[in-house]
Amino acid sequence: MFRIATNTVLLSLLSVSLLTLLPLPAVEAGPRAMGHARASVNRAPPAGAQRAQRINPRQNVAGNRVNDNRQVAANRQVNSNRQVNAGNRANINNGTRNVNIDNHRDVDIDVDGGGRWGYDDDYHPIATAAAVTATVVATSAVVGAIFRPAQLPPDCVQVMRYNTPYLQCGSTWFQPQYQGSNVTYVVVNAP
Amino acid sequence: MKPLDCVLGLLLAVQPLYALAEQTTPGQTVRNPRVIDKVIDMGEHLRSLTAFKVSAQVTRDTVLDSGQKIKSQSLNVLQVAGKDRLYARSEGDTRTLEFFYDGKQLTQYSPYLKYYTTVEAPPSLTETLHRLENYYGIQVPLEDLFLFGSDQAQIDALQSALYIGPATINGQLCDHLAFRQADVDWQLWLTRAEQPLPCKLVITTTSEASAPEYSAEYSWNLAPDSKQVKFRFVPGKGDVAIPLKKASE
Repeated sequence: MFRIATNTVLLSLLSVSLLTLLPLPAVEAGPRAMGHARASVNRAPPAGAQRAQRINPRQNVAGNRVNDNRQVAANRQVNSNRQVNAGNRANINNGTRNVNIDNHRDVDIDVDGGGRWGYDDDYHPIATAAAVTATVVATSAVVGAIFRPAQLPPDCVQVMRYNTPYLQCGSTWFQPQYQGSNVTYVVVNAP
Repeated sequence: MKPLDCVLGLLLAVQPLYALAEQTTPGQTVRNPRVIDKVIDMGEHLRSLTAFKVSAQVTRDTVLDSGQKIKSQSLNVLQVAGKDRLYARSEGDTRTLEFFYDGKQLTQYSPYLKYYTTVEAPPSLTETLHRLENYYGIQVPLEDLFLFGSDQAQIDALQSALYIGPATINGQLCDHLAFRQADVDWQLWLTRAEQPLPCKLVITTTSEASAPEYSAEYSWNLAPDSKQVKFRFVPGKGDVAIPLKKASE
């Protein structure tokens, strides 16, 4: 028993000297890695875990298997996390696609580009981006006030006057302008 | 008797470990001069190029007010021909812009909105970019690359400069460098090929609680065909000019 204890002490002393004497590895003194960003999102589920459920049920439509590409496209649109609802562009091309996602976005991020999803013919960038925050505005718009695209009311039309573009949103008129690389809209008097 | 010994042994073993750990606590910063020189060399080399085309796949985080980060992507192209012609395009999820410069005028164009603005520009590209940024607050996509190591204040601002090691990016052997300065940490991957071109850049905004990141991977063409490229903007059907406000307004 006592012998073992001595050994332990000796061992630890040895480790002490080793630790003190051994030169550090070639890395110079500096910041050290403290942790890593996670490299995976998911863990393997435990046995009997409940299967993930789609938020919106898959619509089983005969003929979906005819064209694989179509299905892939539909998945992509679902994954893009645009809110699925009974949009006004429910059925595109034919009734077999379960794409019933409109361009409503769930976040307030200014967006200029459009129509790149290919099923949105009468896309209007302003109206789309505005859908989320449409409640913010317009009744109280003062001349000179500056709005981001996402802050505009949803019912705007572009009007050209004297070769200058305006957006008319109800009784409020906006003039688009660049502030740096951002397009903003300044409230103006009716031209 | 035995347990006491063990405790004693443990204490002895633990102490130097602790001391070791203390030696390398965060306070120490390293400014590896060779790493800093590499950045300066890269900047100078990039500024010496007269004709090139660089494309970059970019991702950029947007932080929602909930703190959640949203990544958006864009494909950026910058083509320069001589000291007085530039074309740039940034095609993104949320914004698409084109820039045209022909030594006389510069146009910023939003192809999806069909808005554009054209301003008179000085005859040299460097001067034009400088004015564009200071006067209008506009930075042409990828312009940032050409500003590395251009002034000393920028180098002095580096709190740390580390060599991380070799890395392979798109099949290319690159050196991974990491820097720290006020508000941002950034990492640069530089090719080991003869010309010191950047392979990749990551910028982490440390002043934001959720540390959003920008990341760009570059591909270079040093002998691009510029015959097909438009350096002067001609408005198409439906394109309308809108005012460009000065940064100060």
